[in-house]
Amino acid sequence: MSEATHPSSLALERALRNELVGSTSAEHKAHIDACAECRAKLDEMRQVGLAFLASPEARVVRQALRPRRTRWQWIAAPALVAAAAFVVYLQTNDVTVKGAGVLAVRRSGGFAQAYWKSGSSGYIVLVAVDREGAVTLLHPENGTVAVAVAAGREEALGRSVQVDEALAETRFVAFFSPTPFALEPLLASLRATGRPPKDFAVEEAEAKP
Amino acid sequence: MTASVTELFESHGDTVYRRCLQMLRNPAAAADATQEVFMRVMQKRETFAGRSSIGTWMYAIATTYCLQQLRNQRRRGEKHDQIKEASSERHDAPPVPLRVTLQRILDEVDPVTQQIVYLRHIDEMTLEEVADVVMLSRKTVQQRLDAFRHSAQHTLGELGGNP
Repeated sequence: MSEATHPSSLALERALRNELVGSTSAEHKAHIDACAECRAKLDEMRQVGLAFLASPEARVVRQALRPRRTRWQWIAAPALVAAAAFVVYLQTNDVTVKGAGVLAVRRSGGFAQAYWKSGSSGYIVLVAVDREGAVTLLHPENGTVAVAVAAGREEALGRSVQVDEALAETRFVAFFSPTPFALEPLLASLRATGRPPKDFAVEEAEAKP
Repeated sequence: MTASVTELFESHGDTVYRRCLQMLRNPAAAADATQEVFMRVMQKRETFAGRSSIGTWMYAIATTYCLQQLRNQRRRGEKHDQIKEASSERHDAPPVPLRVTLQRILDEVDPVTQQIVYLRHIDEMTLEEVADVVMLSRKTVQQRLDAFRHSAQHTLGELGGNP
């Protein structure tokens, strides 16, 4: 390395972190010790890094990276928790909320599967809402009305889903009613407003970590 | 890798931000890019094989992401040719029209070759450093550079440029 050739930005990063490696590390160290321009550059890099880590923008990044609190209602056991938020909406006109049923999620390998064990017979729908608000019907996979479920019997809701970062940012929302209900008005409202229809008498589950 | 992504951000967030700022030349874009890079780190952390340091590995992810951003900017027709700005500080930089042509040629090659050419000719890294970042042998890096140079000379010859 000639006197005029400064170490690369990677070499300066490594120097800043005391991680200079490789056959040229001694040469880089000697150059930096002798080069006022490189030492000034290192000081500037250090200040830029410190300023960023103390900035509001870095707080935003920290928030985005923080593990999300999963929200659950009626989890059968902590060991069944998957990396996604499940919210259950119950039509409460004719059914006791606590006796409505149990939503469980079981993981196997890299996949998670939701199950519903109904406290009373009724009808259920499961949808996924991704970070962009896009709504996907999971159970039933197609059709026009909610799926009938029998009391006391556990049933798989839709297909298993891959557990990944996208899943962590996806809300799975189940709707249960003791009476049949059509899917179209529900899906249209979810897609338009992110909420079920106003005449869909629901009680939103309280979030629990 | 045992460190959580939030711990990695505290230990290496400054390095990633500096790299993004160096390439994107915009503090707001660099902060956004830093967040995206750490999202990718979160997704890829199981694939970290320890063939380079964690810092170099994240530096490579940041470089790949920023190159993609720069490419997207150009493809959207935005007049933010950051590579041109980066290289304009060099006293030996080639004339603008040639650099623009080279950039267009660079846009047409695969992402790994793009990264190798950027690291070698824009960042002016040594072959050893480039090989470390892209996790290829020096011989392979040199072969990729030779192939790119041959292709660029051929294209410039066809365009009547001065390779």
